[in-house]
Amino acid sequence: MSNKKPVRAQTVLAVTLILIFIFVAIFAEVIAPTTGVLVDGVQLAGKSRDQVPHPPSPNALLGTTPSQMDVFYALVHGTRNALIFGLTTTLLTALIGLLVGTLGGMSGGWVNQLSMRFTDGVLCFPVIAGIVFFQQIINSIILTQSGDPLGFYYAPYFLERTFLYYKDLITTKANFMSFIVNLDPVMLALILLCWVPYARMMNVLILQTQKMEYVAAAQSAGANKKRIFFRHLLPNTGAPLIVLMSKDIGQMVIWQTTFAFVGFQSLSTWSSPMIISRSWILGSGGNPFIFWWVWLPITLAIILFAFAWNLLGDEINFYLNPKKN
Amino acid sequence: MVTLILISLILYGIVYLSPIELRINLFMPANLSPRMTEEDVARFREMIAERHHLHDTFIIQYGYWVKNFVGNQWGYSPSLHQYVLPAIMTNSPVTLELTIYSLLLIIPLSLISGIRAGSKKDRFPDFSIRVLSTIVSYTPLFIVAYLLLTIFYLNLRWTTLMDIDVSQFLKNGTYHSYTGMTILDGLLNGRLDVAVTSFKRLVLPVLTVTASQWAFLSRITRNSTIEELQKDYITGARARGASDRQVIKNHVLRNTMSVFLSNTAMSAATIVTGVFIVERIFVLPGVSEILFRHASFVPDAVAVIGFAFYCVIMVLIIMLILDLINAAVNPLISRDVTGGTDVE
Repeated sequence: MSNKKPVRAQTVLAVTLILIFIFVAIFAEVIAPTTGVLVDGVQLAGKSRDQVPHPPSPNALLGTTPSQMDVFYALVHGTRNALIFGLTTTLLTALIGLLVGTLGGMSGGWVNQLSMRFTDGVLCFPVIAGIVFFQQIINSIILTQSGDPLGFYYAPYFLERTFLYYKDLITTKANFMSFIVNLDPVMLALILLCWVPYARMMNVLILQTQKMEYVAAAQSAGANKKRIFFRHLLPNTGAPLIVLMSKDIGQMVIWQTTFAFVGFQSLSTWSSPMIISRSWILGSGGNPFIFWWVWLPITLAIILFAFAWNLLGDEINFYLNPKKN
Repeated sequence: MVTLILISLILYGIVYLSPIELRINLFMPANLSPRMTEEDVARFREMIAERHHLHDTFIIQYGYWVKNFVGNQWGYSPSLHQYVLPAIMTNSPVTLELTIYSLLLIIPLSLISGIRAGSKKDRFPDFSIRVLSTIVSYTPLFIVAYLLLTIFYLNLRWTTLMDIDVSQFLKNGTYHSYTGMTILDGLLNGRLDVAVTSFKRLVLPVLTVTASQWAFLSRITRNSTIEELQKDYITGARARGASDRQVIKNHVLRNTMSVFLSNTAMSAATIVTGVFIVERIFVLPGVSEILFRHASFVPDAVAVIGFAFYCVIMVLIIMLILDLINAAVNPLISRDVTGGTDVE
């Protein structure tokens, strides 16, 4: 990093951007109040029969997509969705990675070998295969439990049907089912398959830190494993973990929008307007800026979101080990 | 190998969670005779469950699955109405083509741009490459794809979206399918038109996959180049009068290359995921098509595990190739490999 000023402009930028996103997420309902019908998490600003995107107007501040989704509404409420998705996924991912890596590193020997081989196995497993897998399992459970096992053959109506079942289930069946229905296959696959970097890093760091003299000193002073882990290992290995997490949050949201766009079931409020207007993104006559409002604002939001979290990661890294920089 | 067994066990374990009635449904024919009574249907379903061992315990079912997998072309998939291996094989050339060309483009491109950025730190090449890679890496893949489509397909009209259909030529006997990959086959058959058309079809998907990986990998190369350039031996070489070019060619390139290759190997799974996403965006008839056409709403264990296996094998092959290149480039690693010591 070239900047050597005491208060770095990058830090201010990253923190401001993230605070803006959090602010918008919290006050989403104030900024863009929900008054109409929601489709895929986005409010309609007109008749859904109308298949032409309309430019920005007082009614819909950033225009509408075909089927009249309100882009501004999607932008504002998508922030909430993205923050929740990114934070949940990353936290759980990091937790799994932390557990696996620490387990291997602390026990050593064959446990370490086995857990690291398992980690290698997960590393080879592409996320997309995982999503397909979880999506099918979740669907199969939902559909059998809801008493209409043949319903899933009407694929186009699937999402609406799921929603109907969901309403029935809350009143009739156990909470377990509503939990299953709420599961997001994309999130599940990302959580269960993306923890490899965390596990590897934790493993290496713990193995390294355990060889340090102060750990040996603590051991000779009679500290048990638990105390050593929480007093010495975790504080010294936590910093890179937080950096990695911060960088992952944006990436997870990018993955989510991409997978939702490709056609997996994941309620990504940011990508639903883009999914519905996919043939308008190309624009007519090859100019994508003729219908700029259907894709540009949300894409910019995604870029800024990922950029802000990544920058924050860099900054945390800078402040936590100034030696290296 | 252990990895594969572990993965398949876990996958099958999860499949086992899905209810039996649904798995029987998969095997049910689409149109039952209207004269069948409900009892008949129930008996029929029971028969299916018996025949496919759906009532057995987990280990036995898994055993049957392994037996089918090994001896029976990866098992019969009811939703594909065919065996899994041939189904995957007919579609895999497109996927392979996309992957191979992308890798061939990703590796030199990220290396060159990364080293160039790193050696001209904080000057124009570095700045421009960093800005571009930042924007590209934070833009969702489909937006990148659509923008590329707009530029190269709609405006410049350099590319095509038509799939080339060689079945006509195959019937005539004037054309032989050697590899299934249309560009190679076209060249081998001396049919330049086929090769050129399929090249035009593949350019944009390859560029999109490359763009998604390039941003990340060139940044890593840049950082390791900067690190490498600060080392003492570089100062030594410079003191002995080596030019910038010589320093980069003889010292930096080799050292960064091994960092770069091991990083690429680590992200092989991401590359494969990227390939499948791009296949979907550009509607290429690759392996992912099988999955989306037939199985996306049907919990068909055999097909999904087959697909997952295909992915894992592909990732492992990419990793192996990259590791081999790495060993060839880096004498330190090849000594470790041949000496039988642990590389890590």
